[in-house]
Amino acid sequence: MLLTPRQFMLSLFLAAGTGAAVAGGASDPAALATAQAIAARPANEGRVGTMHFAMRNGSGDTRQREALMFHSDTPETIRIAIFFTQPAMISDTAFLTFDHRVGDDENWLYLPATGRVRRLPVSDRGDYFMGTDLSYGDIKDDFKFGLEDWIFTSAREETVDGIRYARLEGEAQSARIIAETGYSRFTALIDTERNFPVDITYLDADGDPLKHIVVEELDTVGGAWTAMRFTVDQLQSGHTTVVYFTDMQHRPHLDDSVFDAESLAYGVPYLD
Amino acid sequence: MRLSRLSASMLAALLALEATAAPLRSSSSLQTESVIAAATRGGVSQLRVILLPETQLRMGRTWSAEGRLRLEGAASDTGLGTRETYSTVSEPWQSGNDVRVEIDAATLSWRKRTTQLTLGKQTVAWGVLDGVQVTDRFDAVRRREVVFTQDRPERISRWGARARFRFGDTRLDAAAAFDGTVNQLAGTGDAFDIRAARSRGGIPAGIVPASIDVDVPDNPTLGVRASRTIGTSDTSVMVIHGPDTEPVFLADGNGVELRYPVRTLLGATWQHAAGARVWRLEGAYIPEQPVNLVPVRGLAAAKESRWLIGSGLDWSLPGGVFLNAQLVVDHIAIGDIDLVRPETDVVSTLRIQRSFRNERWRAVLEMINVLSDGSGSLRPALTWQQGNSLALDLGADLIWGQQSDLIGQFERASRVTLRIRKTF
Repeated sequence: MLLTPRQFMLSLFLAAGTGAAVAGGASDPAALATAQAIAARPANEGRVGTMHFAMRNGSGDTRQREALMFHSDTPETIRIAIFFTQPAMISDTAFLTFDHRVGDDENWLYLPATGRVRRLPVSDRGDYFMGTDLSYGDIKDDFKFGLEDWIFTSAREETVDGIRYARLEGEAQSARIIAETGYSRFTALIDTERNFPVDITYLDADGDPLKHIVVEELDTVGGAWTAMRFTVDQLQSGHTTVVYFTDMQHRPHLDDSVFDAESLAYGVPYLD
Repeated sequence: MRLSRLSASMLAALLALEATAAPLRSSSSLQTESVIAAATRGGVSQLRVILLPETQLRMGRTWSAEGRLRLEGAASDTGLGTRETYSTVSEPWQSGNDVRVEIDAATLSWRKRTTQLTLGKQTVAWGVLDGVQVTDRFDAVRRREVVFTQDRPERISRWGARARFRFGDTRLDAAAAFDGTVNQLAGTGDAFDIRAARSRGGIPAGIVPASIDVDVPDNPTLGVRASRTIGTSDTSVMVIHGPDTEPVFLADGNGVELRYPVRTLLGATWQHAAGARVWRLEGAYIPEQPVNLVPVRGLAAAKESRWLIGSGLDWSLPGGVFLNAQLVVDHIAIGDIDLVRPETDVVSTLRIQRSFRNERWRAVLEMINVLSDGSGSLRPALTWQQGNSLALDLGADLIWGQQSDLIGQFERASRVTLRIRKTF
């Protein structure tokens, strides 16, 4: 994979020995097994729901977004279409992304003011998604830890409020991963019954706490555990994003027309 | 006359749909308010309020309707633009000099999967480049502020029909506008009133014609576009046939008449996504482009071959910086005749933008350069979004060049702008 100039410079910087330590060893077998179980957690083939964002800054000013989200997961591609419905200032704006397992990803955006669907360059994994505290990488990872991204250093049992969890810790495999994701380490509480992380703290390239994600509600959609409500605290800026879903439905056979880029301009698709 | 009846029938149909809103599956409405204040070296030169009430209705799985009005109010004579360039059915209603009402959209649509049919007052946006018109020449365009608008081009909707289909990987888009509206120009004496002889059919700056009439065409605009996606590349070809949206100036007694002869455009586009970059290319050929000749014994026009070629790059740079760079060449075959415009115009645009603080702030810097005459513009802008419904834009249009230049002719209109957007 080619590095952007910033990633290249950051790689050199980190390789020189400053900043956060980069893992150099192999994963702890028990920790790796936990991460593999999370990665193997079944995904539903398709789901549709109303997505709500509340974004609050340090001074308490809150912006809200509401969108219809269509999600399809096939062996070749994860496709996500988002049609914003609220507030009025961004209503009818639509975003479509294809995350191909092989090859470059693809993004499209429809802005009503321009009247055109525009093919967009792909953002870095570490770039923030539409003003939220979630990065594009967070969204794509879907509460899993990339087995090629991390060295899993420990997984010990821990009891919180009388419930037993696994405490999984990981360090970035390389300076390149730190540059791409913006994360050097993480520590997470894992619900081992559901193989779902419910509390994650990420550290930045300097080893300082960057982001804290708490999953507040889990539910099954088509037999797959799905985060229905979670909060992301950006620990350095004091900004917070709360995400929750309503009217979530399992839709295993979403029509391709839902993910047709040109059709973003037609507005929210109706399903049979 | 027929068009008037058609538009009245469509409005009546929309109103009837509103009246029976109860059984509809969903409905929504919104209002947008904009205020623009622009200050030049001479003080505040423009103060404008725009209200955009909008209604959208969804009727079952397949039918939808949209209605949007544009209500504009301005301090006296500060540039609401011409009305004479509109057809009778689309002409804004005006009260005094300062208040206008225009139908921005009035559509009835039927949709099934990737097929959509739309009747009514609408726009048709084609092309892949940003704010420069190579193949994007179906719509009438609001040019009362030339290119110095937030969204570019500012489209004027027209009454017509559009059908979009998809057959496998190929899409077909056919559109017809039965509405002769061609554009909206700055009024005489407005900040962006054209001054260069090249934009006035050869009439030198400072000479004011005794009268200016507009011959709004009766001809429809017809267009068809076929497009196809192969991997991460999109290609399209298109034909547009209808009145040109750039006027030629011809003598009319002691005055001047603006005419919009019919022309045909053959165009093609290509764009390719490669990770953090998207490459774009457009080309258009207009075999008989109406164009003014240098006046000898009076205003005269001819039809000559015109080529437009444009390329562009979108680049998502590290740190959330977005860059858009474009280059457009506009060439017209002169042969042994003298035209009022140069044989070749070369224009470049560069836009860099970045958002801050979870997209509450956005900074944009745009530079437009006419490389062939040395004129250009620098357009910095800063946007602040407060809560869900308020946005403030502070910007500037800093224009340089000579009075004879494509953009330099508006040098005296350099300005600082403040725009407030509020939605309800």
